[in-house]
Amino acid sequence: MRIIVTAKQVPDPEAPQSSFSVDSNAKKVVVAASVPQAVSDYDTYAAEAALRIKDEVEGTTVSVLSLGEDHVLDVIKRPIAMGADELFLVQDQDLANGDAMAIAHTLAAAIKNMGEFDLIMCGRQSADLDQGIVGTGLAAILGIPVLTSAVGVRLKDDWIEIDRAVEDGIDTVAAQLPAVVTVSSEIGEARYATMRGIMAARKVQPTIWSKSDLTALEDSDDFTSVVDVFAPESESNVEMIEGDDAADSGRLLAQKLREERLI
Amino acid sequence: MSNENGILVIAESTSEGEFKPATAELLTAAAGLAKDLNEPVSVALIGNGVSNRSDDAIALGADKVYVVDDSVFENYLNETYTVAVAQVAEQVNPRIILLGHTPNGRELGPSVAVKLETGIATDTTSLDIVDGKLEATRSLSGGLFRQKTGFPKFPNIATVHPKSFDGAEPDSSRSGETETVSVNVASGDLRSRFVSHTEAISEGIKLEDAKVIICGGRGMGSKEGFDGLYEFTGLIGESAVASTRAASDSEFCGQELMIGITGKVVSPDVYFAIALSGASQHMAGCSGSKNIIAINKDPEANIFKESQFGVVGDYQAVIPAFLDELKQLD
Ligand SMILES: Cc1cc2nc3c(=O)[nH]c(=O)nc-3n(C[C@H](O)[C@H](O)[C@H](O)COP(=O)(O)OP(=O)(O)OC[C@H]3O[C@@H](n4cnc5c(N)ncnc54)[C@H](O)[C@@H]3O)c2cc1C
Ligand SMILES: Nc1ncnc2c1ncn2[C@@H]1O[C@H](COP(=O)(O)O)[C@@H](O)[C@H]1O
Repeated sequence: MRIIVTAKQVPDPEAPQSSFSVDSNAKKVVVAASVPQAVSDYDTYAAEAALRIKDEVEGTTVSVLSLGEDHVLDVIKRPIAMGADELFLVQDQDLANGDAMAIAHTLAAAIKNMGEFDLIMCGRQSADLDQGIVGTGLAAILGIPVLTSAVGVRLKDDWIEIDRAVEDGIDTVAAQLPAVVTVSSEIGEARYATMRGIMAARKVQPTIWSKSDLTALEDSDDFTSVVDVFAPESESNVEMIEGDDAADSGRLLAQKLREERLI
Repeated sequence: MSNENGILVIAESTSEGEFKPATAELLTAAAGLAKDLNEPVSVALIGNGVSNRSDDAIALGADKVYVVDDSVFENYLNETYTVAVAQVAEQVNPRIILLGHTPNGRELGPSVAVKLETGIATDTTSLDIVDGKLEATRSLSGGLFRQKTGFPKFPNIATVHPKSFDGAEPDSSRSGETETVSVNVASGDLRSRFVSHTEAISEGIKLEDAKVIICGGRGMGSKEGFDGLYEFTGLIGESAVASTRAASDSEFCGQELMIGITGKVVSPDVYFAIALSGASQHMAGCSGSKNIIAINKDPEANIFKESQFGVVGDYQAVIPAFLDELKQLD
């Protein structure tokens, strides 16, 4: 069984908010140089879900695929250090933050280069763009079924079954392999890299492609355009309740909220 | 395609056979766009035994309802619903398609976009018409920024962030047309299937319905500390307890209490934000609250910038005094 995990490298989304700003001319988000790169949050859970299958099904290979520019090897090798086997990098500047469909087309072409696979696991959305489009797009381009936002994943012969959170509970749905599954963080903690994993990851040489290596890649149109990027207006008008000490503040807060008829 | 016409809203129903709140919200959004364009609003009503609800859709603002009613659509499944929506869209040839950014809508939207070879903006919070095309505003970087997305192709598709629009009120005097569309999905050919639905066991009031939400973060420190929040629900009517992702991940409570980009989106009258920092990914789920009340020991915590009232202090000192005073005032 071969599982492909797509992993995007992004600036650490939990870095202090002040390190992110907007370049309105370039219509993009700019990140302070001090912010470290990270594997996009949900992609680490996708890797975890894949590795759980590997733990269970002997002979499973987990291949990691990432598209972007300036990959930091120590960062993008994190899924390898967690236990994945191989790494494929597609380096392309235009696409690094581009249109979701263009990204999906490029990843699909890379997957065709990678050969046979049974399952593709993506994050449910990327931590910088939050689109939730690429996984579904990939499935449509490859002509295989997609199940999204998994909070639980089970392999059942040649079907993959997932649980997904819906408004009033959990839906369980299944798809025949090969399929794409996108994974949410409720799947449970992503494992830490072990010392052994980190040592092994050092030895893994990534396969590096540029767009011209992707023979299956056809030109695709852009399907959306960025008209503007801006920071939402925020005016802070907080009223601080200050008593003699914390307990006194608590009492005053109760009085205040009653006065305002809020509770 | 040319002669695109109007807005197509993809309706979603609850298991009780009512429209989800998202559908009434979409119809408000659609009404605004339809007015700007001077074009009609259509609704795609897909399911099993849904035909009789066409009038409800018209009352909420549909000029025309396209009904796809078949047992194969009993439960939402990406594979079948994508076919149904695409077929209705081919018939309507809409300028704009709107879906809720609900668990199913956010899965269905991108599949439909791929099938119709057009673009989509997901989780949008406001919609405008510019030169006969949609411009949709969505958030970026976990909610820190906004991006305005334009669409080079028709139809322009957007999923709409919950509670970005007030739900349309039904008006039974409205009139509209209904058309049945038969969609051919051979269930034998399907490569995916719906297995089962497990209803959440809801103790007390649902988060989406609560007027007051008490949300605890990682700073609650332990499950015992977090459980103390349930004392609020005994004192305040129509209230419910929620969590940040950090609190759920720390196993202070279940994942189903999580609010934010990963979790639920709520907009209660009062949102107590206790021992949580106010990360953008969390605020994306609660910034629509009418009043946020922050209790945090760090005066620099971002949550104070988003709040109406704030108390700096250890929750373990603030909350018992707060609750005692509340009992006194009763
Ligand atoms: C892709 C992605 C998706 C995410 N989705 C979500 C989501 O849906 N929901 C979500 O909540 N988060 C989400 N997160 C995580 C988010 O970025 C934050 O890490 C998380 O919200 C922080 O939770 P917190 O505020 O409880 O914890 P912290 O940020 O650790 O804050 C704890 C706060 O408690 C205060 N505190 C500590 N002790 C006390 C005390 N005794 N009394 C009073 N105050 C105290 C501290 O001053 C601090 O401000 C997501 C992150 C990513 C990258
Ligand atoms: N540049 C990329 N490289 C690898 N995987 C990606 C890339 N962009 C998106 N993905 C995958 O697609 C998922 C959804 O991305 P998005 O549609 O941008 O929210 C991510 O969680 C990744 O798994």
